[in-house]
Amino acid sequence: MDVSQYLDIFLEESMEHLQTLNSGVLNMENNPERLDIIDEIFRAAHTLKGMSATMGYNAIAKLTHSMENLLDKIRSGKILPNPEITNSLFKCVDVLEEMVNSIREGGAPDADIEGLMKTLVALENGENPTEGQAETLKSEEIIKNEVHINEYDINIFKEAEQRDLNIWKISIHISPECLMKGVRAFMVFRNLEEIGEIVKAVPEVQDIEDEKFDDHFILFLVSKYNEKEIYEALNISEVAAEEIERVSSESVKVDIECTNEEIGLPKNIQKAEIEEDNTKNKENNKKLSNKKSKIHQTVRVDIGRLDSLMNLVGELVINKTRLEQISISSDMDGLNETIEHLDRVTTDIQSVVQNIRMVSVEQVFNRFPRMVRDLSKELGKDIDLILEGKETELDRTVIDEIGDPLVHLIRNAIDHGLESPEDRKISGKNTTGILKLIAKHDGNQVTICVEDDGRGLNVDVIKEKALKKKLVTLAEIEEMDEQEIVNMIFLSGFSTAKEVTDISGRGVGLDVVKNKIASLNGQVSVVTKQGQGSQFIIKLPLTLAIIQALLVKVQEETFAIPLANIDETTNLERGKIKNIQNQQVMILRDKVLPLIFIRDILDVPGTKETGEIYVVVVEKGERKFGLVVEELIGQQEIVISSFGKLLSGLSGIAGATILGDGSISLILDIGALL
Amino acid sequence: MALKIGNEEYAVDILAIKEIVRWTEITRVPKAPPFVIGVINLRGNVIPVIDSHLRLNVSQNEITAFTRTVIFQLEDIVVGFNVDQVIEVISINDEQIEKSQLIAESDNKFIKGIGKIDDRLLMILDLHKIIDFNL
Repeated sequence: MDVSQYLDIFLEESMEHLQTLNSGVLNMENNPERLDIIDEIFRAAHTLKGMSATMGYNAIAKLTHSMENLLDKIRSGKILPNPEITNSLFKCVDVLEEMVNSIREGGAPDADIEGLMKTLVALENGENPTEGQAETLKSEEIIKNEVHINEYDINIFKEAEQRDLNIWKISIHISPECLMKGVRAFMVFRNLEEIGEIVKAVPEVQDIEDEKFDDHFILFLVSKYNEKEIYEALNISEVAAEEIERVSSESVKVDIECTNEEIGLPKNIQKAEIEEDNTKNKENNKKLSNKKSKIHQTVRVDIGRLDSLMNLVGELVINKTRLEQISISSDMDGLNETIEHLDRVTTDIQSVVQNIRMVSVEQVFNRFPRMVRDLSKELGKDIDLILEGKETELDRTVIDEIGDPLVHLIRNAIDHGLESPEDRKISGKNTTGILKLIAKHDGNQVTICVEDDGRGLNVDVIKEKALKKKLVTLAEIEEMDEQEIVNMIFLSGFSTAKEVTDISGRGVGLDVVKNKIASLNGQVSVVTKQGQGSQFIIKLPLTLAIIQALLVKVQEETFAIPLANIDETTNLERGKIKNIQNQQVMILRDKVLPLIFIRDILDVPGTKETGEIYVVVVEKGERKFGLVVEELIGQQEIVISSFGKLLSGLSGIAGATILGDGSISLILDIGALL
Repeated sequence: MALKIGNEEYAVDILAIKEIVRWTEITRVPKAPPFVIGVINLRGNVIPVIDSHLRLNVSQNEITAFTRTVIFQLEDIVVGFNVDQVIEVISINDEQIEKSQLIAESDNKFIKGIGKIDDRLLMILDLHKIIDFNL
């Protein structure tokens, strides 16, 4: 079977499952008594096993299989999780990750798993290495044939009896020399279906077809035929009906507790659900159908398609705006109503499409607990990782790229920032260091902070290092203020670590971080206090191409100001403009508001003078400014068209948009204007 | 493609030409280099426009019925170029191209060479240099 076409899906899904394994084992370490976590880990390992076996990656399948055995013992309470177990599981996950990565790079996933597997088996057996491995491996393949009748089955039996049908319990035995057990089983099914209905099978039908049974399985058949006829139906070579037993709904015992040793997870869980709420199943006379698990229905979509979708939605919005304008000037009744409706629908489509590409940062944050745990153990530091704002959403492409810079910053914080417990004690700090990762929305930006309460950056050391590496001259350093000096750590070739450790210190790091973030149109900065800690702040734009803006007119030109930056608008008589130290200002509710004339900073030609002007109050950081314009046109949704490379360097202009009448309006970049 | 700018004829690589449009309303872009006269709306896309006269130091002409904006596409950069007239499609062979020293230093950075066809002289423009804003 050619499985190469499934390679992409395999890689993607494996990564997801490995992530689940990672976070699951971490959770288990902290909450060893919670069985649901162990179930989750088990599921992930099991699915991974299935996928890799299908793809022919037997090493992965074997390793996950051993993990399953160990996990199974844990979840049935036979073993309690302990540090050795957690560590081995972590090692397994690491090895699995390596193997998947080597598959991704086109190599073969061969890792030395023998040692690891021996450890797993030893742990599973309570560290008694004398018990055979083979036995445990094999016994899981074959499903134990314990028959559990639940209320659902009883209901079916009762119904059958009401209809005057017989219920037969048939034990089918397939001769051990038979090679194609699955085929024989299939023939059994087929023949029996001709004379009745199979209402239950132990093990499940799917397992029987997959040959996951020893040499016999049990079927419950509802049929009007008698024993003899059934024997005849089962006259298939190499199949012997061991016994046919008539049962009635009373004679079978109700066994609700699900302690099946079966492996087959989504079905397994569902079976538990079905057994527990069988009252809802009364109508359900369907047999052992493979109901799909209802946890998450997701579809994988190629990002290119999402991009096309977004572009089309963008054009739709432009045209809708044009229609709106046309309908305002025309007077057709029906048209207005329809346009309103169109407006609502387009707005909805727009928000749905925008949301599609937004993914929560949780995905990225999830990698970190494990990393911090490992690093802190390695360096002998005690670290508390606090994650805030996991649900903050970012565009998919940004999420993919932001992971590496964050990893770097975290490593830096742990390696250089946070001190060892002894040092911390001496400085009077809590021996446990705090590392905070905070994500939040801020207007039309997302801010991610990596904060630590470690030793902070030493300005003098930075100065020294910069001079030594000839990154600046002495003269330049004299001119810099403290913040500028601190910012030098982002220069290429800079590192204040005394030695290059495996983790960091090679001086290649922060400038790479800076570049990566710049390529996402974001910025990174650092705030530090010696002895108290440092805070690395990353700001990223939301890259939404459609925004709300206020259209204003200055002389003959129209400009758009993003609504997110605007605080309020107000009007002003020219006479009320005051002058303070050569800066023109106005008084707004008893506060002084500096004024900036768009006409001047953007060199707008024209000589119109109006007595009354409008002031758009915008905020930049903590400061407010008033932008002076001549006319306020109105609030509108606009699609941002980027200028392309040629004009993207212009300060003050963030892009352009095409208005409803086809004309172009420039979008002001508030941050850069001031 | 042969173009008329000012009183002279110029030639550009035809493969770089995406389309040719008539003169449309140009929106001024503040703080842009002086030879970028603004941007236009090309079917929903915002394209910057370079004025050929300003770029090549040729005297300006009035806008006539023949004035066109030639849209070039070089790799992923799309830019418009205002010319006085688009004349025709011609082929110029390598032998017909001369790297002449006749042109003044300051102007020849945009000119790759001079093509001679019959008794016409066409200056071949180096588009990459024209759209390089550092020059």
